[in-house]
Amino acid sequence: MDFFVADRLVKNFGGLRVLNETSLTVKEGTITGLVGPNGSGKTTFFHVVYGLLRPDAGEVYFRGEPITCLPAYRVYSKGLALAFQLPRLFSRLTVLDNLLLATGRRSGENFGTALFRRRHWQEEEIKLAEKARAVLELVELTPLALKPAGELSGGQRKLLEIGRALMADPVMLLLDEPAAGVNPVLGRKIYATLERLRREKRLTLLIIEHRLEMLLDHAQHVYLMDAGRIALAGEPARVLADPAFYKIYAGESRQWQS
Amino acid sequence: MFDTGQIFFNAAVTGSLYLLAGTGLTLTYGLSRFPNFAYAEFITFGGYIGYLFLQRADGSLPVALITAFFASGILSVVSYRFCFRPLIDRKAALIPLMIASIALGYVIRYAIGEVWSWSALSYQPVWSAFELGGIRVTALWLYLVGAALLTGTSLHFLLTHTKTGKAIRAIASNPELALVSGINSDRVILFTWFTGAALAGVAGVFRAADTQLFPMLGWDILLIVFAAVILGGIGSFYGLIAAAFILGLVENFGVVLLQAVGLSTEYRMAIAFLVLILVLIVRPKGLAR
Amino acid sequence: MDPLFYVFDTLVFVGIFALLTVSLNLEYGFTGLGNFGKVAFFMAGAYTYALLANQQLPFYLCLTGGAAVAGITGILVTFPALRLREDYLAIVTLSFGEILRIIIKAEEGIAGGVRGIWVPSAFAPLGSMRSLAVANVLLVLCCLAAAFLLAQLLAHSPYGRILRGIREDDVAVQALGKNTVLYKLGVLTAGSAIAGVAGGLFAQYMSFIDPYMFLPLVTFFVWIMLILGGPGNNWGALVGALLVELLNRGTRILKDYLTLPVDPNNLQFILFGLLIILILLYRPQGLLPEGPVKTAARRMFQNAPSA
Repeated sequence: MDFFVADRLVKNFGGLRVLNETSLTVKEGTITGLVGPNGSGKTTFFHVVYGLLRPDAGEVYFRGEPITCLPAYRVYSKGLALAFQLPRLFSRLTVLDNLLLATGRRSGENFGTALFRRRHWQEEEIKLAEKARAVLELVELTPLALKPAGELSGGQRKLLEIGRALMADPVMLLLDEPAAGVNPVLGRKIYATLERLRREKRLTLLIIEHRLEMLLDHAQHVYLMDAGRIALAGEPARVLADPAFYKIYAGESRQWQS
Repeated sequence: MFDTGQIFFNAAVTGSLYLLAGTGLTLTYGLSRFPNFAYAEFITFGGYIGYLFLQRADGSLPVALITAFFASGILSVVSYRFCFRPLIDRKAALIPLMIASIALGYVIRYAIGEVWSWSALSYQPVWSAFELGGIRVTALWLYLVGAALLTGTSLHFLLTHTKTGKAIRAIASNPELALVSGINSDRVILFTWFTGAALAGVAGVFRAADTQLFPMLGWDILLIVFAAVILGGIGSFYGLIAAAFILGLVENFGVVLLQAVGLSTEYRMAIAFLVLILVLIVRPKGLAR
Repeated sequence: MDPLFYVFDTLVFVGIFALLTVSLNLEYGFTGLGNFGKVAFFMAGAYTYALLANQQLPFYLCLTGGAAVAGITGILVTFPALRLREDYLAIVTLSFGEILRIIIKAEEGIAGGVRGIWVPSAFAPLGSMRSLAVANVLLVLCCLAAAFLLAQLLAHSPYGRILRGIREDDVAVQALGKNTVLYKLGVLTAGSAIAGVAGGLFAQYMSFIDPYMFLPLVTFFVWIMLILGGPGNNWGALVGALLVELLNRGTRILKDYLTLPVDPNNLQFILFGLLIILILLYRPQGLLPEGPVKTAARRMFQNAPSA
């Protein structure tokens, strides 16, 4: 079985069918793109996969194991991490604390160890702080480490959101529009970094992206979503060459003009 | 043992009171997105304004009701303008808003205590009971049920047939969308704050006429009204209609049951709490959704 | 009254309310949970203490019992509301406070109903009034010190960081692999247990309790103290408790010396209400604003901002 499989996911909001038997697979160590017009159900798909929403039907498998309907915190412990489209930072905590909260299992995070194993978790804290420093370098936020996250600019918030998802060394990352709202130079840098993580750490990535020019350079496989279904799939070049691709995106632009 | 007809009538009376008291609470909760605990005092204030006209035996109930309607409505609008609106503008979170409403409630309650004293007062007109088709009723109860019916029908008309009413429903279900679609939400919100609290003031007059008048009058029924609002689904007027009468029934049957098993009738409050907990476990979004 | 006893009495009350405020700070200040029924857990602790002490148990067991009963009550009451929006928790806890009082009032068999219940003093063998007063002050301050230390250690640990994260964005914390319901339940249990200890101390000190001592007013006072002192700051909780209690006593003393055209009791509550609204409007962070999570990681970054 493939590394990651979503099998005929269905999600209804009231009478509206947002996911209509959406199926896709992701191979280990690849970057897979998920594109499609606004409102085609991409973000909902992420939320369902990640356990933030309950699907009405369908299954999700990760490394051969069903993870459907697991709550988000359990999904995370399986090695999946999600970076939200609109960053959900802890605005009154520092940038550093935002990262240190995202470390996966560690000491000092429950009542007993927080009180009675202080020395132990303080040592671990220093190691994690080193790791946070590396992540901060990666997302270029080092000088802001001790600032409250609420004071960051839009682009910086986006970077911190991605950095936070990287803190726990996930096996697979779900990124919802990582390059949205950041300038093109930084956007390319983000993608270069993700590409490097894929190569060096064999990180698997599933990325929703509107800025196709950035995504398509790096993705090995692309899914085009339309009205809750996968309309097209294949290598980026083949998907781009398909006339249906333009029809679906053009349909969107007509919608927005009217 | 059960006089079913009488219990159903009593339930209608109790439910009518909860409907009047809860309408504003649920609508403003839906619009402004926080539970306003000062509603207890909007109810009480109405009761005391009514006392101005009903402290003599020949006092007129309609005059008392109408004055209480406007007085509580104005109090609510003033509180919105000078307390809640500034907090909302400063992006106050849910819990600070709730705390502010409790604090405002204390301000109003103790101001009432200062003006009218803390001892219980009674309205002077007496509504004597008579039999109607085998059911013991008073004219006051009939007025109360009538007022609830009138409120129900006119609000139904308002919500479905007027621009303001449609806007109320639109904002309650999706504030951002309503904002971009050009609904004048300020006017709609003020209208709702006024009308809702005005009805609560009317409820206060009925409650005081039926029992006694004291500064805790509103607080004593507030939690039951909250149970009704949550059972009905926050922001839903139609849900509230059903929930108010369900709570009226549960309470009136419950009191008979409590007496039958020898428990104190003080537990009628506990019944509402039980309903609230059950709703939270089984159907937290209430009846309407 | 002997001025020294008055000072001791003040200290005991400040201590008891500071315990409540510290517990509310754990729940609201750090975790963002609106517990509007603090008085219920205070009451659970007080009545448990009273019932156990009447069985001739030593005071420390009575206090532990009070903490345990209040803590368990906290779990049972808040669990149904925890997965829902925060306002549900507020309404449920508020309602529970009323219900518990009604039950105690109605069930004369449990603890005397409206007539109340006598509580034997923990320090009766000490004999003299003065040593009794000192022992009471010491007991309360020891409990407060322990609770304060606990709250401080938790606040500046990975655990406390998660609590603050939950306050800022519950869903994001879940997405980062933490079971937020368990954290909230843990905090409410600890907060309720601390309130239970405060209740036990109150019962012991008063030597008589009845249901009218446990009105929603108690909860309101604790909230005033926390909002004034500074939510998210344990020192703020102490300062708030001290200031409000002193203000409270100040008006009671003034009452004897001043003749006001209004009832000072009414005036006091009107002013407290306005004070809260003004703080929320103009200084929502309170007197002592929240500080950062202080751990080794922060010190490391402070010493060497970039490696």
